[in-house]
Amino acid sequence: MSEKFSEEAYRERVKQNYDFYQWANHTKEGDSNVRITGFVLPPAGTIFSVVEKEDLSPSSRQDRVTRYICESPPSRRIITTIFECKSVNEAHETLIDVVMTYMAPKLPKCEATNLTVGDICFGSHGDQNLSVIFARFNILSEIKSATPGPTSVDEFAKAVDSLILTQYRTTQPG
Amino acid sequence: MSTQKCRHGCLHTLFCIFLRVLRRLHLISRNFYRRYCSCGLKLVAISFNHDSASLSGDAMNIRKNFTQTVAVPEWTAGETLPADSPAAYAINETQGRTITIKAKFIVSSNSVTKAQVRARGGGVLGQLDPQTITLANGVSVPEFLSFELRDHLIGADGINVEDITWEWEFRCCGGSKWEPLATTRHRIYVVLEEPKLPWKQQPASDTQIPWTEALDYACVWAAGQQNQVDAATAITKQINANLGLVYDNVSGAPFYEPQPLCDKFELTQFLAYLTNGTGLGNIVNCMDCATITTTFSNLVGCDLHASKMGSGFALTPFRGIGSAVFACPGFGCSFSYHEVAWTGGHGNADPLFDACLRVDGDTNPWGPPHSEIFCVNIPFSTNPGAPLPLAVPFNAQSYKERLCTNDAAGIGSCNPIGPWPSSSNGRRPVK
Repeated sequence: MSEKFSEEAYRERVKQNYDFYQWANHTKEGDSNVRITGFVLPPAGTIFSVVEKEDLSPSSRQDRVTRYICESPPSRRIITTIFECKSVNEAHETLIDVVMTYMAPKLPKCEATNLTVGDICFGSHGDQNLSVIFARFNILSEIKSATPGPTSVDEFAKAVDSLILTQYRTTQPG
Repeated sequence: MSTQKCRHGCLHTLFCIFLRVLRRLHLISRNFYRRYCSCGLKLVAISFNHDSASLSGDAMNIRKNFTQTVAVPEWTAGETLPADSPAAYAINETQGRTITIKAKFIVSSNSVTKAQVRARGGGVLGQLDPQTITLANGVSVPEFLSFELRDHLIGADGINVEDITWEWEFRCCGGSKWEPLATTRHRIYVVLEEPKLPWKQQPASDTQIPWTEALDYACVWAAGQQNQVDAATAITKQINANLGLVYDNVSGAPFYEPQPLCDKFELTQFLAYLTNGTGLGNIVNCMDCATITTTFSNLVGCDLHASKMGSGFALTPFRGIGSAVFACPGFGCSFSYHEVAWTGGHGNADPLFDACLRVDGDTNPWGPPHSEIFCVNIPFSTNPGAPLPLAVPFNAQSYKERLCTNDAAGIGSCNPIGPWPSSSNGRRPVK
């Protein structure tokens, strides 16, 4: 089988697994033309502090990809990657790019654990979300706990989503 | 130390022998002996990698890490820590070849034109036999003089890292007594052969030149191994069992290959994890394990690449990295794909190394009791077209049959795919 065919078929299967066509290009607020630029995590938030920040190589779908290593009390390490995508649609395609690298065939929607963030959000298996990936407008956020232990990243995800929404709302005319 | 002119000739040599006898009888001081029978020779630099275009007659090109190089000459006066003077040798390329180091000397008196130098000790590089050196205008001629490593033991103990000490001695001005010149310390790495991609030897300034900070681990994990299979086996077991890594049971996400391309290996971060437990943490998935195995194995001369199998297949219970028991992952009994460190062309018959998990090695890998084996040098499938289900007892040392369920959804759906398109053919560059 050709490698190209294999990759395309695999990508399509992942999209089907995640019901991609039901949520792709939709936003809960505004519309699919919203494009946030220059979004960054502050050095210190209410529940975390950034200990390391690094720009990663973007693909053709993103303008910028930034990884933050954050610490959250008491000594949790959280890896957050912010993908500033070229459009809402590209953010959703990037979400598929990322979950394609996961060994889990499918992740549960965040609503299953009563976490409501982003336009589309997937959590992790288990009682708590130890990782979350969500898209809000053209911003995709992947949040992973890098510290073993059953501590949810929900509050962290809410804080990031709130920062994105705040930036969106403060830049709206009127 | 004497700064007056050196005398030469047979009479002076006899004079010095006489003074040496007097010195032994404690009838004259050391300084008195040195005043007439010594010179102010100093060792100022040692170069191990004196030819950056070759690794057969000298040390190979190395750097400390992604941002820091190793300057040549590797040792200069004042350096005292072995790690500050590193050198790495490839067994295969140096075997049967003349290996040399180069050293530079100065002398306080321009009139000194000859001296003898030797070095005792040297560990794996051996002692340096006495050699007469020429000096002009107070500097050795040529500036860097070659010393052949006639007594080296490179290859005798396989892969190795060793801190060595040379006790340098000299005599000149007709002196008959070897006198201390300098004590130098060096960290010597020995690998099987030229490191394979992602590691390079050229250009010498490239960031993919072998890193000593990675050699510090790889040469310990594979210490004593004499061939590629044994080295990759030792490294795979080390990653699986002894580094404190645990499988990402909640999603199977990669941590050490940056999204969205997963085109590099975050080796700097991984070394930070190994050194102080930070970096990107201890949670990993199969891509991480395959990349770590490939990168560290290839550093000591193996030839592995990270390659996928799949896509979407059912699993029989295995013992995931960091787990104490046989079980399915927390996200269920299937993988969307799986990635391992593979040999050859990642075909059915090509052996692979999987640090991510251990499989059931007994005659019924699809049911308890589970008898674990490391997935080292095990062919992907010894009989890929066999009708399913396979019969028990199953005796073949064959990877996918021991990883997947014994049906079409498992064994029947797990096939070699190849490396990720953006992974540099499964040899992700390090950063």
